[in-house]
Amino acid sequence: MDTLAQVRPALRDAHETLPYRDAITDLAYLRDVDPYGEEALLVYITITDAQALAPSNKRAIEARLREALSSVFEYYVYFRWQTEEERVESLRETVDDLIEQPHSALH
Amino acid sequence: MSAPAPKRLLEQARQLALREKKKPIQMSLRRAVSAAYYAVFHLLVRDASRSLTRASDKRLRLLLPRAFVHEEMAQACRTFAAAGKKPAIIATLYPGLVIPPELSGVAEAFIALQRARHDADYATHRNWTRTMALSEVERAEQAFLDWEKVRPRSNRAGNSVPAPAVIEAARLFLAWLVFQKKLQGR
Repeated sequence: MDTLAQVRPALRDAHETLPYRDAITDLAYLRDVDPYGEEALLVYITITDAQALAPSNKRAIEARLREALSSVFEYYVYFRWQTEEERVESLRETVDDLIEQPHSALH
Repeated sequence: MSAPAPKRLLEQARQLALREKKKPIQMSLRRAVSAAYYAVFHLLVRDASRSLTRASDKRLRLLLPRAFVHEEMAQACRTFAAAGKKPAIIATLYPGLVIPPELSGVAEAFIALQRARHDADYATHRNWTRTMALSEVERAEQAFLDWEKVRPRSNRAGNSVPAPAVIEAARLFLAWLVFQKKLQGR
């Protein structure tokens, strides 16, 4: 089963019901391997600005996304938070085509 | 010889994440994430060592922390995470065990922070942003707050202490951090 194919719709659906979803401008994902060799999923959460969400709100969103992904991805899911400005800058600085870019679930 | 002070490490993590006023350098952000993980690591190792020894066992309290293994601690935390499966030995010996949400929060934070620390120290192909690093520092700070609510402690000097069932769960968690590998399959 290509679990990654199911990640995108799962994230899109989850986004519809996320708390504070107006502060989230993108959800993107990358297949990854954890330090012990197990498959993992890295989810980038892009927010409007650094002050957009309190830490407890971030944890609540992570919990909701983890729950939504649990039915389509059985391995560990982890999150990285960034602002829209940081996302754009990061893309601009990444010149190495060998590095896979995250796949947006919303755009 | 003195053990690293968890709270100082946590403060240092935030300082490093905010070290450069404008564009942060990768080294500061990566060290911030690493310090955030080690703050929680040393907090749990310290309290586990205290939980398993008497206050008079000063040498033992210096020795015991060397027995903790990062990977095994993460594995132990999976048992106490919100969706964690309880091994048979725990289900049998602690049939009424209820894991407080704060304890699950600490366990989940440890797993996430360990992952972040690996990325910060070894995944050099991926850049860290300040928001990424600060989010991990916040995760560690929340773990400290959560742990304070469940941490086993004496009620000397009028300290409020968690309910007995909470202390029992927290002490089991601390022991599981170091003995999980030996006990998991029993």
